[in-house]
Order: sequence, then C-alpha cells, then structure tokens
Amino acid sequence: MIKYWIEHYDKFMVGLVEHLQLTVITVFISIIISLLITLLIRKYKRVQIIVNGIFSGLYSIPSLALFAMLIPFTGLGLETAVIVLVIYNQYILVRTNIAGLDQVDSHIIEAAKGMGMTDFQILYKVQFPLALPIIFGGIRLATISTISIGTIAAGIGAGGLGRLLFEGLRQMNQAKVVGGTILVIILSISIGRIFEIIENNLKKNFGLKS
Amino acid sequence: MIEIKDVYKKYENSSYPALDHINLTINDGELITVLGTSGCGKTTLIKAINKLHDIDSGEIIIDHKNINDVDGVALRRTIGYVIQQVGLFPHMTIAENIATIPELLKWEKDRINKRVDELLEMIDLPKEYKNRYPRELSGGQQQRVGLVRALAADPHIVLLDEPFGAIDAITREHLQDELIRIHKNGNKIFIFVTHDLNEAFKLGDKVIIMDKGRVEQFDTPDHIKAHPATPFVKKLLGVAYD
Ligand SMILES: Nc1ncnc2c1ncn2[C@@H]1O[C@H](COP(=O)(O)OP(=O)(O)OP(=O)(O)O)[C@@H](O)[C@H]1O
Ligand SMILES: [Mg+2]
Repeated sequence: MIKYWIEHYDKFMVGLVEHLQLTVITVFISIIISLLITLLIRKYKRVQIIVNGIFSGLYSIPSLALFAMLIPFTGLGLETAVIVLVIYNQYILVRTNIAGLDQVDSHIIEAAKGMGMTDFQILYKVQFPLALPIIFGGIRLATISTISIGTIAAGIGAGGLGRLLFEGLRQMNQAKVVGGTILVIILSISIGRIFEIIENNLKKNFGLKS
Repeated sequence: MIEIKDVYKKYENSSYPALDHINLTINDGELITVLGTSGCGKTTLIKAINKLHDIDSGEIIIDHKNINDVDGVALRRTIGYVIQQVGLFPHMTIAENIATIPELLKWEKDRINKRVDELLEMIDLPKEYKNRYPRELSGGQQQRVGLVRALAADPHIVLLDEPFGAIDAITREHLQDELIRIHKNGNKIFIFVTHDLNEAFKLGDKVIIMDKGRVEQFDTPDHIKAHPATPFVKKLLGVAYD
C-alpha cells in the first residue's frame, strides 16, 4: 500500500491541492454571504427564526440530491459544488454569527450608545470584535464540514480528494481509498488546529481569556 | 443649564410611572445628587436627559435647546455618562477605553494621547496601566477609568449613575473626594445618582430626593435636614440619623 502511495505521490498531491482550493473558495464566499445575511437580520428576531428554519431545511437535504437539483442550472463541476457547500455553511455561520453578537453584555452596548456611538459604530467597534471569537468558532466548524462534504463534490466532477475515493471504489483500489481518507483526516485536523490557535489568540488579544 | 419641565414617563406593563411630572432646574456649576430607593426612577431620569429613553410628555431643555430638536447621537457625545454597571469595553485597553469619545469626535492623535495621560494622572493610575485590559484592574480602578472615560472630551454635563456602587468604604471616600475636586475645576453640571444618603449629602450642592417616580424634595443638604418636605423625606432622614 505504501509503495502505491509513494509511486502515485503526485496524484495525491493534486487531490490535496484541489481540495484545499475548493475549501478556501467555499469558505471565503460563505463568510461574506453569512456576514451580509447577519447584518440584514441581526435586529429582527422573527426573521432570524424563519431564516434559520430555511437553512436547517436546506442543510437536511443530502448533498447528492442538492447537487442533482443544481446540475440543470449550473452544470457539472466546481461551481455547483461551491454553491451547495456555501448553502450548507450558511446554516452553521449565520447561527453562530448571531449568537456571537447576542452574547455581548447589554451593559457594554448601552455604555457604547451612551457615549454617542451610532448603531453602526456600536456594531463594528464593540459588538463585532467581542463576538469575533464565537464567529470564528463557527468558521472553523464550517471549514471542517466543507472539507468533509467536499469529498462528495468529486462525484460531480469538482475534483479534490473525493476523486481519489470515488476512483478507488470503482477500481477496487484500497490504497487509493485509504490514502485519500487519511489525507482528508489530516487536512481536517490540521486546519482545525490552526483555527483553534487563531481563536485562542483572538480571545487573548481581546482580554477575554488569560 | 438643564430645565426639566413636567416630565412624565411610564413604562408599558408598569403600575406606576417611572417619572411622574418632574420639574427641576439645574444651573451650571452645580453638583446635584439624586437619592432614592431602588426602582424610584433615578436611572430613568438620567437616561431621559441623554435621550437613551424617550419621555411620554414634558420637556427637557439643555442650554435653552429642547433636546427633542437635537440628534441623540450628537447630544450624547456632548454629555458624559457613567453607567451603573461601569461598562468598560473588555476588548480595548485602558487607553483605548478612555479615548473612545475623543476618537468619535476625531481629535488628533497627539491631543488624544495627551488627554489620556492627563486623565490617568487625575485618578492616580500609573502610566503602565494604559496598555492593560479592564479585567487586569481591580473593581475600584475600573470604576475610576469609567469615570474619566466620561470626562475625556471635557463635557459640560456629566451624568453618573451610581459610579461608586461596588466599592469598599475607604476607596469610595477617596473617589468621592476626587470627584469633588474634578468638579471644582470647571463650571460643569454633574448629576450623580446614589442610594446612599451619606454620599448624596456629602457630594451634592443640592440633592434630589425621589420616591416612586416623584421628586419629594430638591434642595441643599442643610435645608433638607432642617426642613424635610414630606413624610418620606422625614422617614429617610430618620432611618439614617436615629
Ligand atoms: N426598560 C424598562 N422596561 C420596563 N420597566 C422598566 C425599565 N427600566 C426600568 N423600569 C421600571 O421603572 C422603574 C424605575 O426604574 P429605574 O431603573 O429608573 O430605577 P432606579 O431608581 O434607577 O433603581 P436602582 O436604584 O435599582 O438602579 C422601576 O419600577 C423599573 O422596574
Ligand atoms: Mg438605576
């Protein structure tokens, strides 16, 4: 098995790089969209419940079914995969963004308002920075979920480590399947770890943790 | 000068008004204390003055301008406000906390730095505290920072809502003396809320005594002691001096 890995080293690397690409693009777009949604609905509790309901409904659709639904519109390939993964991520991100903003001590917000900050200044100078550690926790989850669900995206030609798994299954090539799986796990764990370090630093910088 | 004319406010689902036809005139240079039991409307009065709360009827006039005609954000930048729960920003250093309003007013960097140093000196905090975070300060030090944060842009009016709440008696006395000294230096109006009678009488040029949303008496400490206006005031003095 190890011999196969060494011989086909380049195949694994291509898969890994593609997978990273898919993840970075997806997470980046997910963050931007989730922040926009958060900005729009942060003040309206009822709208939040509805939006949450919609995303949790979408989240419960199996990814292959979602891919299939989108293929008539966006075809096979990376684009469709990214759209589906971004939709999934909204369920995680919008919820944690709002939870993060909501947990900021109301007295601190009142102090900010009392000193003459505008609504928007309160948001970006006080509420958002104080929510950042929690928002970041959501981003970490979304990234890891993207890495794992992203393997299925190979099924519609989006490449990545998932392609090794699909090919390995079809060719009954165990080395390919195991190698791909190990890389997915390593990728998840190392990215999770990097995020944890950043998260802890954020908390420290903001004086929330000693 | 602050003129409060027949101000009335009742919160929804509350059985009695928080402000029940209040009339007060506060002149420049006065340090006014507001004394009353919990829930009598002290915080509501303060928040009506800086438009954190709307009032149902009546008028509040600051320097001959009805605050209805003034934008709330602009008004609050000119009025210092120390909230009851201190409310320092935990993600900002002490210097950044103190610089909040000058930053909002877009002062130049040098001027802000100078002002921060000046204010730290005023409350006897060594310069190395500038880059600390609020959690690295004791409760009393935090309250002092909250106090000078409100004074940073040299506001003409300062509202202080039980700023020395959770502080031991000795530090408290020291802070009271500091406050009197700070107030003496300008022609400012300080409105200081407390439910401690000794504190109210020690600090106040005049004392507002409130009960259930009404002003029971508004006078100098000496006058109040000599001529308590209502049974409530009498009872309050009785509890304290018996
Ligand atoms: N946001 C609010 N909504 C509804 N009722 C309120 C609100 N804020 C205050 N009240 C009520 O109005 C009354 C006056 O409250 P206020 O906070 O002004 O009292 P206070 O004198 O500052 O009391 P304390 O000494 O406990 O701070 C109380 O009965 C309180 O329950
Ligand atoms: Mg109060």
